[in-house]
Amino acid sequence: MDSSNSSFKLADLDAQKAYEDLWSRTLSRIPGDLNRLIYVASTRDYNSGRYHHAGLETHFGFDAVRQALEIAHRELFWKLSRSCLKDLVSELELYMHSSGESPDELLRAWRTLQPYRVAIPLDVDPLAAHLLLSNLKLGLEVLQKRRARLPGCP
Amino acid sequence: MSALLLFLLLAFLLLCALLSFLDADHPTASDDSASSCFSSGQSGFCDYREFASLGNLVFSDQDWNFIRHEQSPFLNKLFIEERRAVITHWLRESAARLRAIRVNHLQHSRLSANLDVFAEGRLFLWVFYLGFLCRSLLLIVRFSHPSTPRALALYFQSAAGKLFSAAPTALAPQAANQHPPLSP
Repeated sequence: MDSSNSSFKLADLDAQKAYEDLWSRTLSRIPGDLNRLIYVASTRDYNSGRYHHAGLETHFGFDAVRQALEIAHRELFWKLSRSCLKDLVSELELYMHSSGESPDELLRAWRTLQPYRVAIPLDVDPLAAHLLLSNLKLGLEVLQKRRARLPGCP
Repeated sequence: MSALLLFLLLAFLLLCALLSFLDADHPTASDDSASSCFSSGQSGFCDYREFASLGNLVFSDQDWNFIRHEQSPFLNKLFIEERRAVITHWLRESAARLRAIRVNHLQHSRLSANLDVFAEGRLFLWVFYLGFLCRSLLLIVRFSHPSTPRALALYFQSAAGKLFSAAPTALAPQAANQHPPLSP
């Protein structure tokens, strides 16, 4: 998904510009929708649920940036929650390889702490969230099993 | 012959009792979820397209075939547990939605001056039938593989979807304005 096929039209012109800027300068350079989802979720304050992006806020209004990030977050969530398990496993593999962490350590942390739970946007369909979290859990187990089958792995 | 009829009657009553027991598992949570869905005008399950697309996904064979290809009994078991939980969630949301529609319709029909008894009776039977289908699916999913009742689930989704797509216009008129659409 890149900015060219992200066809959201926001009512607020500034928000629309912020959204397009976010896609063209940042999100299009991040490989994979799961990576993008984690990135956008990381711009959200844990306590207030509000989105912040210092770079975008210097060019666009605070509200416009918040709206752009919120829409991008919901859009990425929507796409991932409708992915089949096979595609989600590919997304997880891509995330694992681009994270720079050891795959075994990342798998252990993600399977134990389930940090992906905080990547769900506010006010989305609880069933879609349940489905995505369930599929991510299954995807991690698939990757764990595959790694366990590799020669030299415990 | 009379013994057989008595047996069938008892079996039917037992099935009804079992279905209502299953339905009464977490009634408050589901009711709260449905009512908050209506009151907040939240997009998502309130939208019929969402309901249909999620139904197609959770009952799809594609994910099961992928997991089976991994040839791991642990993954097979985990998939069945996880998917069963998601399907149960979907069915409970559907049941709560049906209940909310029924209650809302009853409240509105009390105020109606020219009530069509035939149409009301037909609607009541239709909602009762959908509720029965929903509870039957809950029962089947609990005791079989999650993709077993796929055909019945898709039929239920189609039948209930017509009701769900008609109801929100009366129940949540602000639904479209609260959040921007999710699907591009």
